[in-house]
Amino acid sequence: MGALSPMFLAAAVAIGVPIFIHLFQRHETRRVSFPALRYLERTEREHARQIKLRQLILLLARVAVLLLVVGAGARLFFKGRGTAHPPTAVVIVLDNSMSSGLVVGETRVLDRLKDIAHRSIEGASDEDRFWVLRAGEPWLPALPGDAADARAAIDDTQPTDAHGALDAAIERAAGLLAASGFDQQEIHLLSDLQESAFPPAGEQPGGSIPIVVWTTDDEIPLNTGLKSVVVGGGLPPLEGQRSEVTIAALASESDTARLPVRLVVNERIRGAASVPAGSATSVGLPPTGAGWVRGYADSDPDALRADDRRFFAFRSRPAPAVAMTGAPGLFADQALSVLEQAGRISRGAVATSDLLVSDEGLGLESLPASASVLVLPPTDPTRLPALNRRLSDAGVPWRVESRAAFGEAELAGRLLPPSLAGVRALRWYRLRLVGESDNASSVLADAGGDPWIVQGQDAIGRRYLLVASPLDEGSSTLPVSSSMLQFFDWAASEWAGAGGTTTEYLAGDHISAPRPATHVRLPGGVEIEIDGTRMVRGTGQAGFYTFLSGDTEVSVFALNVPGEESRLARISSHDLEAHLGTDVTTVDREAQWGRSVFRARQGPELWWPLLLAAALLLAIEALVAASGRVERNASNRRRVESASVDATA
Amino acid sequence: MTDPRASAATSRPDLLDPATLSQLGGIEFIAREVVEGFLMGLHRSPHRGFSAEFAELRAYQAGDDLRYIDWRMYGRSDRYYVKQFEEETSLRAHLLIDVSQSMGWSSEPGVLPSKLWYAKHLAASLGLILLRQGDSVGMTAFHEEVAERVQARGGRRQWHELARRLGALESTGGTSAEGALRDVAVRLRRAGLVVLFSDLLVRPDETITALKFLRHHGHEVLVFHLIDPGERELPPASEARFYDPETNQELLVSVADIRADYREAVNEALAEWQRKLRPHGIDYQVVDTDKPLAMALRAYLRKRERLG
Repeated sequence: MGALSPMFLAAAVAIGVPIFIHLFQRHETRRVSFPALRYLERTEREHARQIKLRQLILLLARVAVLLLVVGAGARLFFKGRGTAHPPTAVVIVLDNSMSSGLVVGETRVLDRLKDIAHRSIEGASDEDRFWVLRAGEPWLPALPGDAADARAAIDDTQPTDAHGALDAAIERAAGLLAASGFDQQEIHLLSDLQESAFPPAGEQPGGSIPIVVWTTDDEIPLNTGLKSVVVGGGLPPLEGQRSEVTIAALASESDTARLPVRLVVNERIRGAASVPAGSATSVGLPPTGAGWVRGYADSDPDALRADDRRFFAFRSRPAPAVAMTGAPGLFADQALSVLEQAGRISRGAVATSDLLVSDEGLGLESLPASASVLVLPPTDPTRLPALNRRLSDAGVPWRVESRAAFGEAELAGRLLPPSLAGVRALRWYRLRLVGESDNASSVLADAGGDPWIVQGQDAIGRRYLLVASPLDEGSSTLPVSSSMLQFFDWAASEWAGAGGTTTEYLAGDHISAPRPATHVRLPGGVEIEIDGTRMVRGTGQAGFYTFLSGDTEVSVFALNVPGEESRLARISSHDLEAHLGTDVTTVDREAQWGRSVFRARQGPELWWPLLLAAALLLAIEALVAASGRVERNASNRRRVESASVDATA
Repeated sequence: MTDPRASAATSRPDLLDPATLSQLGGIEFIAREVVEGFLMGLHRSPHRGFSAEFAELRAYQAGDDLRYIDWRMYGRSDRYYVKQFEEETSLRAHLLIDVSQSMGWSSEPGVLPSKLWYAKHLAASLGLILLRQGDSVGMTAFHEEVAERVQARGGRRQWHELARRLGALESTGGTSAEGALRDVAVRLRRAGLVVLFSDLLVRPDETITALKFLRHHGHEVLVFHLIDPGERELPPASEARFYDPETNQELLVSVADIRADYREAVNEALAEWQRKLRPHGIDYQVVDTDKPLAMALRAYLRKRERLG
């Protein structure tokens, strides 16, 4: 039972008045001389028990009337009965991540979650406010609406190939509710509750907001699929080169059967193999002609289709010509030699090169406009002015300052090239942007908050990479790590090639649109224009994202499903409470959902039956007490009449 | 300001309410005024046949003793008349007045006179009437025992003595009517009229036995049961602690709850007195002390008529 005006309940102390009067006041009576006591004794003897009973009834009736009136004033209501509830702000967190496409029995998980979400809507009133947050599409704006809007949003929800971070969704929901202004707030969490959807340890993102969670103990079907696809061991083949594709299968504890896989390149099956669960196999990749190569590996479909296919894309082209000026150091020279021997690059003159590895900016003046340059700083800071002068002459807006920073900082950044992941900077110069920055300039990685590697285009349109540390073992861990080769290969093949990447992108990631792309073709074939932010958001579908400039393909990104979505194990109830908090209601039966949501649900208000009961009790009380009052009045009347008769006489 | 004596002269004092009557003066004056008014009223009343002049002869009624028929009147008028006067003069009346403490109670002290005041004035008025008829009148006041006694005599002097002794009576002590009644029965050798003035807050059975004892000795008995209006109707209080001034016994009463039952109990008690006395030829008259004295005197008149 609840009360809409609970403060009124304090008035219940008023019942103390009749109880006090009954227990104490009635004994503080006046003493009256009365000779005819024997008549009273006679009456009292006959009616004492009746009088006591009547007084008790009167007391109980009066106390009950007070309580009923207080209850009516407090607007009591029964919880859980009827359909009415106070206006409530509700965020429905609907998990449409990749795993929601799992088919259990004959029903897709998301469809069942949507059915349950509809039950929340069915219990809504016109005064409720809804938000529908799709955990698999966190980039979508959250718009408030009524039940009809929420129903439409639920109906439109489809599984994505992206990861669903439930804690982030709940935290976002809590923020929306906090700003809603509603007293009653609820989060309805509809998810398959994958363990991987929650961070290992985290604070309860929902705060004190009640969360109603759908749980299920349905048996999780066996899931097989592909874990990864790697082309050429991380170095995509050049034009005419033979290579291989490594296909890894998901690990499975219960299934030891081999998984048949097929390799499809440019829509043609190029190979087939079988791979045990948890293992990998290599399938040969025949030489390809120049241009973008799209391919995927897939296996036989199972209950979860999304992870049965993994995409890759790379640009097949001739080995880029790389020139080197100055003395960038032994490590750079050796890395280029290895790449040359592997056929990944060819050595050439500055004027005909695709990429110039320039120590101190040497050779910039003779580099053609179609080429790119990797500028390395000198080890000796006294030579920095010469570098800056050459940068200035070429129209590069960055300057290298001698205020060297020391320490050990791991490179980080939103645009960090995969080859630089895990690299630590030990000593670096300060890169300072002079003048107004243009859109072409961006920081690919920073070290301790300072830009460490930046990219952009100079005055004549040449693309440049400027590094803050020389490539020696005292300035960073890059020269002495295996990343050195990958870094130079990435710079020569991917970056200098104006796009194309073997970088592992996941569905749901934001993709920075390469220049000079103006449109992007989504996996479904729909083309959208790239806006001023030059970021492509909402990549909820795995597949190929082709960036176009007019009819020319600028770059192709292959986005794959996140691996953690393939782990279908559910979080335990204990861990669920630890993540969500104690104010969590779990529901495992669909029929119970409707009764469990809107926890502040009120039944029909009781004020009118309470007042009716109070009126009835008052009538009973009046009947019981009537004789005394009526007779007292009659007595007074008789006295008045007698007095008036006497006065007349 | 109106002089009560002046108003008494222009109106019927016997019809005044006791509260007004008590302001007129002493018991002798009041009794005389009441009796005068009462007798004056009788001239106009249908109850003819009672006064010094009219009492000599009365029309014969069935059952009258043939020895008292006035044959001379029969010869003159050819109608039967009974010589009544001779018989009435032989009446010896004795007034028994309860002066127990309960008789001194008034539900509205200072406004409504006490039951004892009413009893004394009613007794004085009745005594005066009797003496004017030539009867002899005696008086006994009692509480737990006989407190005052006046031998029965006739004449003007007896009236003054009676008034003086009545006026001096005070309420005190408890009530034991049966003793006083038996004492009177023993002392009165000649059958006569015994009039009891009491609130009858006594032991009923013993008192009724004593009254029957009087009847057994040939006395006519008239009982005036004096009752204060406050005894008929409980005061307008929700609850009160009542105590008996005679016994000091207390009783906590929820007045509102028992009001109706109490009223019924009082009526039942009065009816019970009536029921138990009537079969023995004892006249019983309830007298409310807020009612004029004339109403009680008429009860005596009815009794007197029956006595012939």
